[in-house]
Amino acid sequence: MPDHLTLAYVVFCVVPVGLAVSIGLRQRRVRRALEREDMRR
Amino acid sequence: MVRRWWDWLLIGLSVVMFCAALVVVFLYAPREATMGDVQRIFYFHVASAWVGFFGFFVTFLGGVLYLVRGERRWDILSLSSAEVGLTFITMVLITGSLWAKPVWGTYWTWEPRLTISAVQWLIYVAYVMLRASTVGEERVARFSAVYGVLAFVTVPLSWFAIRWWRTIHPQVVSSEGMALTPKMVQTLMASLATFTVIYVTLLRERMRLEQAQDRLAALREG
Repeated sequence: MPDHLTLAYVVFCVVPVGLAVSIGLRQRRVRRALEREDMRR
Repeated sequence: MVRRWWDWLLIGLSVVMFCAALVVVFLYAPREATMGDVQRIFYFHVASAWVGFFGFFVTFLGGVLYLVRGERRWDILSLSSAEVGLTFITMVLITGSLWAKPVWGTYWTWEPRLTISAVQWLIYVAYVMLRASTVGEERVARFSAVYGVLAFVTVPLSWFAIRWWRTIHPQVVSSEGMALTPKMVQTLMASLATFTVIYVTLLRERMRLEQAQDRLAALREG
């Protein structure tokens, strides 16, 4: 079991990266939907 | 959704500053005499709290501007900042508990600062959930603006909780200054600057996402 300091810094690294990835994935989904909509027109 | 050069600069700066801040926290900051190495949680914990509070302030400001001007951009700013702020406050709660276990002997205690932080977290979770369930509805945007303005009261409450009530939460910043050595202050400042840049980067990206969703909705409607 890692110590509390290590766990805390894992949280500090993982959580902002997690949010960035989540935003990035949502951006990609919207971008693809925009491309599909453009092609449909 | 094209990124400009300053978007890439912000992303690069966030990564570089985060790595540099880690080096400063672990190699430059001195070991605290009483708590030992676990005190190093403090630097990023306080920086996360600052960014969380600032994020909620921007949500408050965006809410006021939306209510006054009725422009969608202020609503986008408000909801984007709430999501980013909530992420940082989540980190504050988790890492605060991880610090508390070796220092207080418990992960959680219902003392004023922690209780207010938990309530604040729930209030903003409700805000983000409300916004996630709808896109660009004016009625929801108006309600959210009022909610965001009222929810902001938890920020000064949380700040003053350790000054107004008897609490076991440490009070590092007081009217007598900071109870830290110069190297600790420098490390804290570096962490604050780093987390502020990360906040701006995440906020910009989140706002770009919302703007793209608006474009998509407009295309589908018309």
